[in-house]
Amino acid sequence: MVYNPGGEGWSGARDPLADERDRSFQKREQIQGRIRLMSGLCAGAFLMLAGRASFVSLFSDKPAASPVEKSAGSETHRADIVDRNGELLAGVVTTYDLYANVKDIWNPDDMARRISAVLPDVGEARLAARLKRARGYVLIRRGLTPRQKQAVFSLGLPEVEFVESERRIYPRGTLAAHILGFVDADGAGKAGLERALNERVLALGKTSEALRLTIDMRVQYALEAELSQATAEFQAIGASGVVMDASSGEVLGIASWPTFYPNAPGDARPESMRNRAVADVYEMGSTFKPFTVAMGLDAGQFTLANAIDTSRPLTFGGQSIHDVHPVNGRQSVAEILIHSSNIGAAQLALDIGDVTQRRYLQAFGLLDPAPLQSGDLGRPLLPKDWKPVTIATVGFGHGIAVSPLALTTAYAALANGGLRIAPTIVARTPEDPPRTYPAVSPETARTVIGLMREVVTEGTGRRADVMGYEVAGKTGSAEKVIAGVYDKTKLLSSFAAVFPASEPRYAVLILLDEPKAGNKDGDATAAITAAPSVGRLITRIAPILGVAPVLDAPPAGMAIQNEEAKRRAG
Amino acid sequence: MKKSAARLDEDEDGAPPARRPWRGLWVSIGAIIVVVLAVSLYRAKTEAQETRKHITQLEKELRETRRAISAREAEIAFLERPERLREIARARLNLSPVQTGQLKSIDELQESPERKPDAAASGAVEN
Repeated sequence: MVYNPGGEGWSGARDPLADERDRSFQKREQIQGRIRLMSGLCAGAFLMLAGRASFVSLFSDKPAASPVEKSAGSETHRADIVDRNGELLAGVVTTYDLYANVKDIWNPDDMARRISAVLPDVGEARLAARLKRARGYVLIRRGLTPRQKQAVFSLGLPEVEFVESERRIYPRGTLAAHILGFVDADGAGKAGLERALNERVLALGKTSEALRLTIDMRVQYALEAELSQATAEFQAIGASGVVMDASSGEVLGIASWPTFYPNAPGDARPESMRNRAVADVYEMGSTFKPFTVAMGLDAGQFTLANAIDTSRPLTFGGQSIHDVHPVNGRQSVAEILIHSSNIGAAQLALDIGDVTQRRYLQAFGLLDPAPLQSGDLGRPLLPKDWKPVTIATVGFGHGIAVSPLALTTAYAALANGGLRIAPTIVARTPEDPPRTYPAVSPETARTVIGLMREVVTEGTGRRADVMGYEVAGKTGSAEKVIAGVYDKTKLLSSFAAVFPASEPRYAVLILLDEPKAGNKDGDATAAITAAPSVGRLITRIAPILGVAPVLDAPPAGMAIQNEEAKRRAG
Repeated sequence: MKKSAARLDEDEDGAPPARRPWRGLWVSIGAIIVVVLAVSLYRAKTEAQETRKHITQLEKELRETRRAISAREAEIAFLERPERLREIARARLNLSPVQTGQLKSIDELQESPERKPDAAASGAVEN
C-alpha cells in the first residue's frame, strides 16, 4: 500500500514508516479479534451458567435429599404393645450395630483391648483375631444401647462405625411371652400376637399408636407365679392357666409353663414355646360335669330333686365306668356334682341324649376352637360317632378334648348368666362389639353356680375355698392317654372356678400336666394340686380386680385345712 | 407498507434511524422488573429450601426425642418388672401381699368404735 494523501504525497515510492504502521494496525486488529473471541466465549459460558442456575433455581422443585430423610423413609416401626392399663409389654428401642473398617485399623490388639473394656461380652482375644484375619468391614457387636454406643464413641477410635437399627424388646422378660410371641432378626412377627397381628402392629406403628391388650399385667404375673409355684411343688411337666372377665370375654391373664424369654427366642427349647393354654387340647375330665348338669336342667331332662343309683359301675360291652370314691345308694344331682360321681354324670348324660348333648356343647363353644387373636388355636378332638358309651364318657369329660381357653370360656358363660361371649385378648372398640351366644338360661346358670359353690364348700374343691371371695368351681382329674391306653399314673389335674359366687364375674382355670403326688397318700388329683393353686390365685388377684371380700363366715375349706394342719402336727 | 418499506430502505442506505426517546426507558424498566422478579423468586425459593431444611431438622429431633422416650419407657418397664418390685417391697419395705382379713369396707371403718391409726397403718406390714 502506498501513502498518497490528496495525490500529492508519497507516490510510487515506499514510505518506510507505513509498513511499520500497517503491521502495528494488523497486530492490533488481531489482538482485538482474540479479545472479542475470548469475551464471546466467556460471555457464552457465563450465559450457560446463568441459564442453568436460573433453571435449577426456578424450575427444579426437588429438595436437597439428606441421609436423615432417606433413613426416615425406610423405617418400619412396630407399634408398642401395652396391657389394659397402658403398661408396656413390648416396645421398640434404637440400637446400634458396631462395625470396624479393617483397612483403617492401625493396631488390632489395642483396638480389641479398648473395645472389650467397654463391652465386656466382646472377647478381647477373639476380636483381635477377627480384626487381623478379616477384610473390609467387621461386625463387632449388634444391638448396642445408646449408652454403650456413647462409651465406644468416647474411645475416639476413627476406624469404628455405627449403623442404626430398631430392635423389638420385651422389657417384662418372660411375662406373657406365649401371647406376645416374638420377632425375627428382620423385625417380622414369628409367633403369638406379633405374628398373627403383624400387619396391624406395623400399621399402628406408623401412627405412633399402641396395640392395647385386655391383659392386666398384675393378674398375668400372679397367674404365672402360681403356675410356676405349682409346677415346682408338684413337679408337673407343664401347666396352663386362664383368667377371664366373664362379663366381656376379655382375657385378663393367660399363661403356659414352661415359658421362654422372648428377647432371645433362639435360646428357647421348642417345648417351652408351646402356648398350651390356647393351642393344646386336653381331656378335661370332671370339669365337664357342670355342663352335663346344666344342659339336663336347662332342657328339662331332670331336676335337682332327681336321684340316681351310683352304687354299681356302668358297663358298655367290655368297658365299664367306675367312681374313684364310690357312694352306695342313690345320689341327687347336686351330690353327683359335689362328690364328682362319674357313674352319676354318665347316667345324666345318657338321659340327656346325644342330640341335646351336642347342641349344648356347641352352645358352650366346646365343639369349635376357642377364637383368640393370637392364632394357633387348638382344634377340639371330638368323638367320631356318638354311641351310648361316648355320650356317657363325654358326660364326665372323657372322649372329648378341648383347649384350656375353650373350657374357661364355657365356665365364663355360666358366670355370665348363661350367655357365652367370644373371648378376646385385644381391647375391643365400640365398633367391634363382642359376639355373644346364649348357652343356657340365667336360672340354670345360677343353679349350676350354686352347685359349684357347694363343690368348693363341701366337695372335692375345698382347698380352693378362700376367705371372702365365694369361690365356686369344679375339680377335674383325667388320666392321660399314653399309647392308646389310659395311664393311671399320669394325670391332668385341673380346677375351673368362677367368683364371687353371689355375683359371678370372673372365670379362672389352672391345669397341671402330670403333677406328682401332692401328699403322703400319693394323691395327685386336682383336689390336692390344682384347687389350692386356684384359691391362692384368687386371693391374689381379687383385690387387684376390685372384688370386695364377703367376710360374713369363714370359708369351709379353711376349717378343713386347719384340721389337716392339726392332724399333721399331732 | 410503502412508507415503512421506504423507511427500511432509508435505514439500509445508511440514513440515521428515527429517534425513539422512550424505548430505552421501557427496556430499562422491563429489565429492572425482570431482575426484581428473578431476585424475589430466588429469595423465595432459597427461603423455602431453608424452611424445608429446618423442618427436616425438626423431624429428626422429633424422631430422636421419640426414640429417647421409647428407650426411657422400656427402661422404666424393665425396672418395674413385678418380680423385681416384689423382691424390693419385701426386702426394703417389709411388705407382703394384702390378706383378705386386712380389707375393710368404708362402712366397717365408720362402725369401728376406736380408730387406731398406728395399727391400721401397720396392717400390711410383716413383723
